[in-house]
Amino acid sequence: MFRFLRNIYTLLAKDWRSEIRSLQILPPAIVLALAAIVLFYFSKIDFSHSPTAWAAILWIVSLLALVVILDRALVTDTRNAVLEALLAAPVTPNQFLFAKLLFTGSMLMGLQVIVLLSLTQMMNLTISSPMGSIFLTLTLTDLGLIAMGLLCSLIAQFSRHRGAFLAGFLWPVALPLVLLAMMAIDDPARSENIWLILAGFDIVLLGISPGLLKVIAGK
Amino acid sequence: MTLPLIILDFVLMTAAFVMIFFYAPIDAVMGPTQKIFYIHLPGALASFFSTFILFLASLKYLVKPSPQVDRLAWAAADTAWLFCTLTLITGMLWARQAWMVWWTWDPRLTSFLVLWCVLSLYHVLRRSLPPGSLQSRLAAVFGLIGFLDVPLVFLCIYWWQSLHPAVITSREIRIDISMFHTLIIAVLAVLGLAILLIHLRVKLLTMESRLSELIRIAGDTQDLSDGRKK
Repeated sequence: MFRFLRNIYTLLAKDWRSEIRSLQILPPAIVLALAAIVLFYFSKIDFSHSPTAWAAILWIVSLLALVVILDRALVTDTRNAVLEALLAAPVTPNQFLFAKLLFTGSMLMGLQVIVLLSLTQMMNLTISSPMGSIFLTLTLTDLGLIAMGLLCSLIAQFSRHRGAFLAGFLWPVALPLVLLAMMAIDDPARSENIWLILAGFDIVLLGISPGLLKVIAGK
Repeated sequence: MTLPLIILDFVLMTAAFVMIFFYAPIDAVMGPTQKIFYIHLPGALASFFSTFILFLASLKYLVKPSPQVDRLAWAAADTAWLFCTLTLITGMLWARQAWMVWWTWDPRLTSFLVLWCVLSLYHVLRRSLPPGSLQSRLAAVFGLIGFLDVPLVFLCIYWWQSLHPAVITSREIRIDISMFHTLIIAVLAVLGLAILLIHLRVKLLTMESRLSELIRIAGDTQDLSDGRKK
């Protein structure tokens, strides 16, 4: 167990160190998210009549930024054959996947906090749902999105038009998860059932992802 | 096996069209437009059936890879996409008559559009990779994660209010009995057509694969004889 956690920590530290040196993921993702919020603001749509408009904007911005995060998070590993080397080294697909999940998950959650703050402070949107339930919905949805996104990103790395394909692969398969998250935020009476379904989906996806990762990498 | 399938499906299709136009009554509210229903619902069922075959074949390929299972997955994806497109088009024709719009963001319509997008992307992925083990592996993984969405899509429909009519529910059948008989024959005919199309597509893909193998062998032999001449 200790070895498992140590390997995850090593991989996570590698990714964060690389990001701090190169700054190639967070700045473009934040700029993209803020640009989308500015566009929403100047679209002159009256959001005051819709109590969950903030959630819709949050998910649109998150899906846009997720493509940037996932693409850049794997491109260095696949381009420099780090993925093959890691899978040949004493690092299991589970450890690789959990490290990437923590790395991209922390980035996405951080970005979502920035977006929520921007929506409440810059666009004066009121968030009526309790913060605890919002963060639980975000965490459960983000887990599924990132597990699915990492697999889609790996598939896209092997195709000819990498960047464009990632968005194409990810958004349709991510849409049902986001719709469930919107329903959980929109109707608190149903949110407990939806959390259970999201958690079940996350468990299934996290359970099969290491095996699928090995299949994609051809190991 | 091909000829009996073609004959069986031809008989079922003929029976279905005869029943649609001469046996089933004209709907009092929708008029003759309601007859789209006999293509629309069987088309939707055929697309679900083919998507399920795609899922099973993808799963089997991941457990025990074989070119035949890979071809079955590709053929099922082609057929599912075809019936999904047919269902969307017939649904839009129905919506124009019933709701006065070509499209509305009803959960059932939206979920079908998502399924169509996933199936379209499956083809894009197949075409973007060179034939071989990598293409088969990645397509099998995408086929599997794309199918994982289907239960979520159905839960969305269950919880969200839908405009889409539900003529057959677990409790009752809300159509005339002669319409129901026609629907059963139409479903059998369209499912038979889906099986036939999958079967023919698998045969075609097998022939394509053999042809490219023969071309490769011929090229190698040519290179060898050119080398001997030199």
